[in-house]
Amino acid sequence: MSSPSPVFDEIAWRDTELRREVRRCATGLSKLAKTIQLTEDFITPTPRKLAALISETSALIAEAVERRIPTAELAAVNSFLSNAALHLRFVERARVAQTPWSLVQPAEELLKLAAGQGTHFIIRPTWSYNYSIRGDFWAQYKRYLESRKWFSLDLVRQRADISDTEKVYCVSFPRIERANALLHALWGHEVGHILVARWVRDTFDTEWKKAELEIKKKFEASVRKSPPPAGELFKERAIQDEIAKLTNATRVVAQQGITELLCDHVGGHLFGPAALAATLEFAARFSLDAPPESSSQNYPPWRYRIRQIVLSCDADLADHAEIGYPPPKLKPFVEWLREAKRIADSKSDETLIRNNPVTNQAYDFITTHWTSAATSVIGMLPPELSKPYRLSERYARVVSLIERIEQRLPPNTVDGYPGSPASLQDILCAGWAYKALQIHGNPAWGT
Amino acid sequence: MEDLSSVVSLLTMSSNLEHAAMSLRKILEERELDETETAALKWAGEFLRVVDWGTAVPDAQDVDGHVAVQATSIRPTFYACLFRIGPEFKEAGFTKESEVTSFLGKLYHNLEQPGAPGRGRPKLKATEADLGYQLLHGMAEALLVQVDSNGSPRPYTTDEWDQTPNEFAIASV
Amino acid sequence: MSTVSQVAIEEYLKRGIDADPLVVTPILAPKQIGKVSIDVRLGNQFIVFRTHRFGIFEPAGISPIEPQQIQERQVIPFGGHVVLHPGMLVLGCTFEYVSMPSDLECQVEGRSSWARLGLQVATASAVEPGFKGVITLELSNVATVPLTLMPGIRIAQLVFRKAEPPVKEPYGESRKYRCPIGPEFSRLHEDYDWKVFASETK
Repeated sequence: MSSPSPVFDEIAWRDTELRREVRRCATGLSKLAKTIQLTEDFITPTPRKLAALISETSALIAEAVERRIPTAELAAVNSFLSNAALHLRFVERARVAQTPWSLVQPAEELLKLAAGQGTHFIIRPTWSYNYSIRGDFWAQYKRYLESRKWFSLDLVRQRADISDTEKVYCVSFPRIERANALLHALWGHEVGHILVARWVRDTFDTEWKKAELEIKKKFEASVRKSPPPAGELFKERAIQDEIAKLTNATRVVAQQGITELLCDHVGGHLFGPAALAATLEFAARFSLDAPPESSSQNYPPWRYRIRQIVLSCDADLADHAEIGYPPPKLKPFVEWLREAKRIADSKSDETLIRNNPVTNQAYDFITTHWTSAATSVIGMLPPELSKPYRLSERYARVVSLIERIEQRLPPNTVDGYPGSPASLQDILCAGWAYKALQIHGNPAWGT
Repeated sequence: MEDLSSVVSLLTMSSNLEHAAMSLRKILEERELDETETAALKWAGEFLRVVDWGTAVPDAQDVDGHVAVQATSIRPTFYACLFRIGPEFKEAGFTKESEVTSFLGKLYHNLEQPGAPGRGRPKLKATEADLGYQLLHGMAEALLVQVDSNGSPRPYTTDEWDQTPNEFAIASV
Repeated sequence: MSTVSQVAIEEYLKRGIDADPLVVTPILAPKQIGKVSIDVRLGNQFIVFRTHRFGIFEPAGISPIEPQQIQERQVIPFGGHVVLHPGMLVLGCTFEYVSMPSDLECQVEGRSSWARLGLQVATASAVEPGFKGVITLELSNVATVPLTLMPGIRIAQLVFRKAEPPVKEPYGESRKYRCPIGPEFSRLHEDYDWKVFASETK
């Protein structure tokens, strides 16, 4: 005779099962991160720092699971661990052999200068054809965990040896371009994201709040003309929902658009024509007029972006006969860059943007805030980098570096022996100019 | 910048909403609330009042810019969760939208001031508390699904997850 | 053939880029230029042998193995170190990139301070006129205790001698080791006379 089955309590079931799974995942993640931290070779200490942070954080979560984490938080903690586990791939891929290791250290120095001391970068390849930046991991781990009463951030600080002034980011580059140092001028754009994030936090939200009501009103008129079908209970809220979706889509496009454009502006400011050249070469792979919508991850059209970078390096694309610019060795490079101007002259991207109410309003927002945002973001750079890179002002140095490349010498010093170290920006410009010179003589060069 | 912080925001909001949902049950069972639960209820009440365009915000100008953006981003999820429990509203005897609006106003009021009802704050009935629980719990789950796709494979184009908008991604070229 | 002294070395270094200069770059400290030599530093790239994978390396071709199969590249960050155990051979390279003019050749020689600890840095030590690149060092420890080497330390010296008259076809594009920027795998199998030996062995 079987006894009657007790009433099934789903909340209790989840508490038991999920608690056990979260503990197992946290312990496993901690051990895995520790193994990677101890066994792999990295060119800088940063990957180990992130591995230690993940290892110690998940170990402390594992300790807390049994008694201290409330049932209501288990699912979110589980998601937190799943995401932190994904971050280990940044560490793993930063192994020396996977990176352009000789460029990693000088690039990290420049990125640190731009983003502020205490900032650490992991540089790693990704199989997708894209450059990207993620982080700051430590700040976001802290933000989630500091309000969890069952967790001690102080213990993480101690065990992972990390202070609150430190920031950890990961910059990714396409694996296939590992040795293509010239394309890595796009890292200037990526460091821009760190500065622009500050602008978004300090300014975008407030500006958006001010603009939202007007944007909502514009959508409201059209939605009310043909309201979505709804039952008696939610007639008005169905209209509000439709407006809310359009307003949020506008917010996403505006935020993503102004962010990318500001980052391009920072890249152009730091690397000048090298940033424009890298963007042109990269953009050639894609549609120039793909509108900013979810299928294109809301990115601004490449033509729009090229137009903005052209504006920031316009001085270097002009002739300055009085100072002999561009000299013969730079002429093919400057000529090649002028093609960007011709691309930017077409307004086909603008037409597409203006034909869609969401992108139209988003780009109105961007246009309104562009000048103040750009000034504000460039103002965040340290004094050493506050002046934009101008090839037309540094061309003598760049030409001397091109001559070194022609002689199969590294373009690392200027002014002969003993000379002085060349800047990363000059080196990249010289590299691009040398490439343009070669392609000018032989279009198939380098392929 | 699609910030790493958006995931943290989703996790935090989801945790708070789930806390608030479970606390509503506790209130119904007349059990004591701890400090975290009281804070979660208060936060949920204030936040939902900003999110829901159907209930009046006392003074929209006082809303912090960051909260305004959070509300913009979460509003479609809020309406979707509300519509999803439409049948439960009908079952509970709701027939007009004004009744829903009045109920939600009462719910937010109770969340903002958890504790003994009084001074013009009517007590939630059992069916109302249950509707409140379903709305908060539904939102908590919907936000988590945005973070980790509820365990189903994420959309991806490579061996890595770089293309997904919902991981701690912040930006790409 | 006389050894080139400090004054002449500096004259070679100061020659214009189109005047067939001697280039050793970067020279981090002027003191690296001695009376008759230039001290060079240890680079941070190494090639180690994966001896656990093969019993024998036979470039002659009985059981041909590509050099890459038994040798593995390692990069040690500046600030890190590599331990050289007794009897171990590791290929390293100079930190400096060298460009030889057509009228100089040089010898890579160990520094006596390291030699006294059992370190040998180069056995194939001649660098021909016209060579450009970093110089591969064959690092071995002939002592009985392990040695710790750190990238960036001064490890060897270049001693220059005049090649008179200047060579007509300096080390150029067609040679085996062309503008290397790290230690190079052995390319013994590319030797012109290797085919003869290989066919005889078969």
